[in-house]
Amino acid sequence: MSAIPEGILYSKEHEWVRVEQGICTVGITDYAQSKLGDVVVVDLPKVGARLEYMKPACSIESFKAVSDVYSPLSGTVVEVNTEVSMDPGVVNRDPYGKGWLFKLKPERLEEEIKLLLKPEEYRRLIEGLSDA
Amino acid sequence: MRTPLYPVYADRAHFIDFYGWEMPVWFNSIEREHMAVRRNAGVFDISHMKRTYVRGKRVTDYLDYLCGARPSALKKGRLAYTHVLNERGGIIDDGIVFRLTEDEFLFVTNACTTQRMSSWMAEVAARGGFEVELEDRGGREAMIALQGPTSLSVLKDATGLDMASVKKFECVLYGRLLVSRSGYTGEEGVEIVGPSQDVLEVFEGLLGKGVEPCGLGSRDTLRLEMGYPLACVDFNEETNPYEMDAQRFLDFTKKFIGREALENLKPTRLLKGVLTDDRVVLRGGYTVECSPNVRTKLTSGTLSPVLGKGIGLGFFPVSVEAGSRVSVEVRGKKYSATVVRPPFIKK
Repeated sequence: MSAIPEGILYSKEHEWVRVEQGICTVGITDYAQSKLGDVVVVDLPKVGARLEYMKPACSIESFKAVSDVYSPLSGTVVEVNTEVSMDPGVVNRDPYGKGWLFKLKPERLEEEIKLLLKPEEYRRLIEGLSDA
Repeated sequence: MRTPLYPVYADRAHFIDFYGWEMPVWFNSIEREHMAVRRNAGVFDISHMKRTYVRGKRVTDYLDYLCGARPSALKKGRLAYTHVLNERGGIIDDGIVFRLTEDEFLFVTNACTTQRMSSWMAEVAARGGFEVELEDRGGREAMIALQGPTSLSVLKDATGLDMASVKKFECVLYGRLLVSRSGYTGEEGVEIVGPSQDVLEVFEGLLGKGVEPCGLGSRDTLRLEMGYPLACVDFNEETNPYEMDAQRFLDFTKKFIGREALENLKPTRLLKGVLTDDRVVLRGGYTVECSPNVRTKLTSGTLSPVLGKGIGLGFFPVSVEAGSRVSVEVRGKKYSATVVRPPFIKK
């Protein structure tokens, strides 16, 4: 069973967002990492890059596939987690903690945050997927 | 389709569809399973591979004609790697042929070519009037591969069978099990064929001794590190053995299907490896640029868990030699790499 912590929001593409003091931290969910298998390469966005709501922000590779990570909010990248470039496996081991990917300064937080899923809604989404 | 071992791992593996088979792709992690095989031991369900028992008075004539190698030269209890070619010299399949008795052989071939091999083997038998019996025991039998440096000791521990005195590419009967010193990972190990229930018990016994259950994901990364080509991925009927540098597996002192075509063929391309300078995952279909006008595409690739670098196989013009510097395009970015003659790792 995938972990779905409280206190953060989720996208339909299996990203999570933590909003703290106007800065949003983004990563992929436990469900996403378990489906990908070993994360072996993470291609992070550049600091200063402008990301758009639910457009590809960066990519994550496992042995089997390359997957886009979508930005759950529009905004500008203010920090990236260089630790995951050096040790991509941390995304598998600690997807909601040390495996975070990037932080952004949101542009349209108030309207876009309404489009994200609460933990209970995300739980229902993945339970509805045949292989959850 | 599911193999007879499916119930053992139904609720603990991640699955993929592999040519119609619902097979484990990994249990815990491809990297962990890969390293377990390189350092200790791992066990794979390979029951999806096609096993054809071939018997009859003229079985050796038949197999010598069907195969590039010379099965008739095998002593009882020995096995050989071989190719099956079409009339044009194209590779229909590769596989391992086991001599079980004077007039009975087991031929293990790939899952992806099951239908093609069934009809081809029957056609060749009928056309030549060889009067051989071809038997595929399907789900009544299972097959596993135990691979890794500690394979023989853990096998002895789990089953009592000591394979240490059995040479590589030899097999023995152990109860109803056929056990051979063989595999496709580059490591020490055995492959075990037998009635489903017997194989299932060995599989569970090995897991009970701490052997890592492994899926097709690590089977692929392991064979790629060794540069072993994979049927239907790296080669098919449009590929001839010369292009794979596989002449040593052909015996030109006898007649076999495809031989005449091969005598008039010269390879224009050769299967070689590429090794990237950086940590990047290579995949089949990626373009390799050897020089501004010379490009090729990888047939398969991965990230080598041992080297931490991208590795791949592809067909290169014969003029591109090992050591050549090339670049591989990975989603719009170019990565420097070197053409190498596999294996990528020393064993």
